[in-house]
Amino acid sequence: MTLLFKPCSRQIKHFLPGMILTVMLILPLKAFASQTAVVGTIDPAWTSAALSIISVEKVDGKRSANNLVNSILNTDFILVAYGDYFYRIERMDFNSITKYDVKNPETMIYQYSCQGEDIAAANPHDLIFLSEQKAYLLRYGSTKAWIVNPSATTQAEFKTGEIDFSAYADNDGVPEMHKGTIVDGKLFVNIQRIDFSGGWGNYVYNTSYIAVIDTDTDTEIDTGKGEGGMKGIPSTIKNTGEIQYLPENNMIYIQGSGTDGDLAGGIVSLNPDTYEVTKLVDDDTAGDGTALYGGRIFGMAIVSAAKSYFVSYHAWGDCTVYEFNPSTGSVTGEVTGLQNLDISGMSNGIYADENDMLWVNSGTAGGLDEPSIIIYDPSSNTIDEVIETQFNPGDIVFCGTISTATEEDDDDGSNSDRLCFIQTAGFSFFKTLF
Amino acid sequence: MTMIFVKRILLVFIALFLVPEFLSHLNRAIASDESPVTMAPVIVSAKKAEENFQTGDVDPEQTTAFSATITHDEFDGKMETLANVIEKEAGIQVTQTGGFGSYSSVSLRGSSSEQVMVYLDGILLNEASGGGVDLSNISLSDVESVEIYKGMAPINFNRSSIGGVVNIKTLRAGKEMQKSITAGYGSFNTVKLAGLISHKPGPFDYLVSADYSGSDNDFDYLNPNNTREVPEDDYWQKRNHAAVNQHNILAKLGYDFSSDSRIDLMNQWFEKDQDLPDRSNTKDSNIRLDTKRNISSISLIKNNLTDFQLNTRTGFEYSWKEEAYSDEFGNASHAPIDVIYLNRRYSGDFFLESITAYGILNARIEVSREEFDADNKNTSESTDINQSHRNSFVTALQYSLMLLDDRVMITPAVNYTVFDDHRESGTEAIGLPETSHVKKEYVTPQIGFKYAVNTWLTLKTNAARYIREPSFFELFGDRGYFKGDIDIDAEKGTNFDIGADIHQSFGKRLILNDFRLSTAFFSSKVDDLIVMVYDSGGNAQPKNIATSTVHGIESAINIQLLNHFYLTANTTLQDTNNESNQSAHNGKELPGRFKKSFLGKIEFRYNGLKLFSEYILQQDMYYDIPNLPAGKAEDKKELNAGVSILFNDLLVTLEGKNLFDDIYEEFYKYPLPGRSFSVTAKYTF
Repeated sequence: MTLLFKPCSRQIKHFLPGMILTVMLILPLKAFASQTAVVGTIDPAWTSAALSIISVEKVDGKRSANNLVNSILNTDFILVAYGDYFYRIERMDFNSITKYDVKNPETMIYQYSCQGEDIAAANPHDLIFLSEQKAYLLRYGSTKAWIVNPSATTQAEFKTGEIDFSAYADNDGVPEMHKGTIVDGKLFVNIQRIDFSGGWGNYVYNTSYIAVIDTDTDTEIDTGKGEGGMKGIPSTIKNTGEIQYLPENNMIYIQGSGTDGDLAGGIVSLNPDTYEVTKLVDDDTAGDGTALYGGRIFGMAIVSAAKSYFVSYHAWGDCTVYEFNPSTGSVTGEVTGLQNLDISGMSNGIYADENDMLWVNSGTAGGLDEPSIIIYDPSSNTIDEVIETQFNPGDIVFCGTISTATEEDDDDGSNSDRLCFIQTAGFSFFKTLF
Repeated sequence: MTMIFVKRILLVFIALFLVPEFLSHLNRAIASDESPVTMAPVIVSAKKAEENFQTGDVDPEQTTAFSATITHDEFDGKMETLANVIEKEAGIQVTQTGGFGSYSSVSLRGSSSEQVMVYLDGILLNEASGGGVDLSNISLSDVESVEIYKGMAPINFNRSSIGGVVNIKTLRAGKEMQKSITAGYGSFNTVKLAGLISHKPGPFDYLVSADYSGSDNDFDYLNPNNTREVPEDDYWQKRNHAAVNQHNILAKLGYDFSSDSRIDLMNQWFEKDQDLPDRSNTKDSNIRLDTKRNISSISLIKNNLTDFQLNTRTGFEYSWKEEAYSDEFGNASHAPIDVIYLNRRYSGDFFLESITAYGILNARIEVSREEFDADNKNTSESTDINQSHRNSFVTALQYSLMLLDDRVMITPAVNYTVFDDHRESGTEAIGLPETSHVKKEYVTPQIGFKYAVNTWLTLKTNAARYIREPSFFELFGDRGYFKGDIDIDAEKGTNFDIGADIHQSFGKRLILNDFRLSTAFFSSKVDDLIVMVYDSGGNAQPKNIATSTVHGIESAINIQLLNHFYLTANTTLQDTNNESNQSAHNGKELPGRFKKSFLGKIEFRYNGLKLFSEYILQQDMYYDIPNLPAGKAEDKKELNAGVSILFNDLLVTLEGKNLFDDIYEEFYKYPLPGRSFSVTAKYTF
């Protein structure tokens, strides 16, 4: 987030005293601001989708929910948030991005195409923010990620550049860039490298990579870890999904779900400075094809260096949340009350809010009668509240400013793509100027 | 296993074939006996609708069912498709994915397309592998008539279902030699060529019909440029990769051994090569569906057997269909696909009709086997998927009791069906081979009542129970994010309808020459509706979790005025209700069904001249199951007009379709063509 103010010019410094005063006045107000959750919800028959807007509260807080907001005839989308804005990114067949203000979620600010060249589908998978004016759009169906201006007022202004990831492409011609995060001026991009060219039933899950981009120059950094012309870092797990940064221990965590026939998933940590990858959780420690946690690992939520969570997909509509220690990789076990639920798969399924409360999806195929979000309090290991969403919950993002209590995280320039922390205003500003 | 079953079918078939032969000999033996035989009084009340009416056929006028019949004259010499023709009837909705030759399915009275049984000359076209029948795979050139039975169907069709039956009857040879050629050309480079020759000079008859039709389907439509909420950047674009070419050849041979004995052989070959557009209309996509189908049948009719005047029809049918689906670049499905789906169906059936003093007794037995194989060309043979087969046995008994000088008809019937489904290969979620076996049997009753109050008013009511058995896909599917469930049960529907037919001719001297009204209230309740339920990972499984109800009123009015004007008005008003265990779906309208449909048509006929115009309005449909605001479809409005002129033996027709140029999507993101024109010429020798 340092880069929020990186382009500052000499003129800005003329306004320094006034700006400092302004920031000092604003910060205490922001300390009381709260997040609002935006939940992508999917019709249980997958014929349409909508949003749920839910207030974020502390323990014992009664959360208000507004369901079935802003419906669309597309179920294949993700949500990304930054500040007060959230973005609905429609993937295959739709290839668009639509911006909304969380205070007015029914009215779009803009909708732009992410398709570009005449390819089957750009299939945008993630948008990682560097600032309000600069973000990286990962396009799963293309070799090129887009550098975009999320504040653009026209389609022509939206795309500002490209980053070529064709070095990671396999036989199907595309690298499958999936998700990313920014840490200390470096964009880490999760590249799945699944070869779809063989068609259904014949996918080849090649070694996943993490490409590293210098966000100052938008060029790829040669980590010295890659092979075959690939400058990134090879992962020890396949079919990588979530990528989250934990400022507390300056570590990136990556989850991979492997494949049905090959339990090659798990959770690894990545040191953003040394690029060292360590396997923390192995879904098949014995290597005998028996799923250690009852199935493939699909979702992950990094809450703290001592306590985090992952989701194991046991069977249709049957997932269970496990607690693990991201510092040691030891798995504590199943989380009572979060077992045998319809949690995850296409979406991460578990998310942490500003209060470190865990939001767990529960669709109708699982144990609950109504699609809901279970709010779990890790501090007491109890369920705080269950909120009905009418449709099956999918992606959850948190909009709005965050309390200054968490701003200690931001002096490293980190950006959690799913948690729209505008936590930079204070420390980053001073750090940049001085 | 397969061979054993084939042998069993053959044995049953041979036995069935021999029964009428035996009865025939018995008849002759009885007849030759010198002792006098007192014949039972026989009143043949069934009116044979056509000159070439055969045992096993249904005369729609002689059933209690609400039906519609579309005859050859109504589409002859036009650039029409089966979908275009039947969607104009009351209570019927057709859904298409695009232009000529694109996937088209039919719904009767709010049913799903899978709940409608489609027959070609009595041969079932629905497949155990799943999905409704694609009407675009049926050429109209060799069709004599299309009969539609809504809600209830007579047992002449081995199986009916919750929606009803569409029976397509192909042309039959007549005593007069028929020779004709037809050529047509229209917008989007749409071409039609057809030829027919048939004759029945004596006991032997033959018919050969062949046609080719094709279209580039490169119609203009407004591409939303991936931003459906931003109309400013929409642009007009040709539909890419939607070309269709199809060939159809029908050959028939028949021989009358006597006035009561006849054999028929039929073979129909159909082939269609089709490019499929993707939802984004990508220029460089390469999605193809190539279909080849062959239907063969042989049937023996033996009538007036024994003292009981038994009429019989024994048949054996074999149909084979291969569909090669490929998506070279994964435009439609994220990854390349190259799969061949193969369906085979063998069936033997026996139909018995006994016309007695008080009515008509019908009995039917059918034994069939269907085989399905999906050969994924991207995988090795050892991981081949979804080899399945279904053995089925169907028997039905129906009696049409005629009272009060045939003014009252009461028709009770009962069907007994056994499905024995096997999955021979497949894979579980983690790649282990899997086999499954499901056997189910069902007894379904039905009853109909018809009362001719007077010469112009007939009242009808019917009640029936039908099932829609799960398909292989629903039972055994294991493709991608879909996993079948062998525990699901058949959908069970209860249908009821009541209505009236009014028909009065007033003669040519008055303004109003002829008036016909058919109206019915219909109601259908389907329990154990099979619904795809997705978990949050997007993995689907079919479940029996819903009940649906449909209530509606359908009316059709036909009026002849001033000897030369023909007015038609068809309306359907229906309320569908999804009573689902899923709260998001409960109380909502069923998706894909219009709540209101209207067709108005006017024709002017004078000697060889015919001018016609029709307007179609369909309203209030949802694309999605939860009926969200985004899922509400726009109204469909279509204006068609044309002129036909007959010069001696040459019939020329000019048509304009969708003159409002309203680009409509019956399937979301799959537009139908806008305005189009065509000219067709038919010359009869």
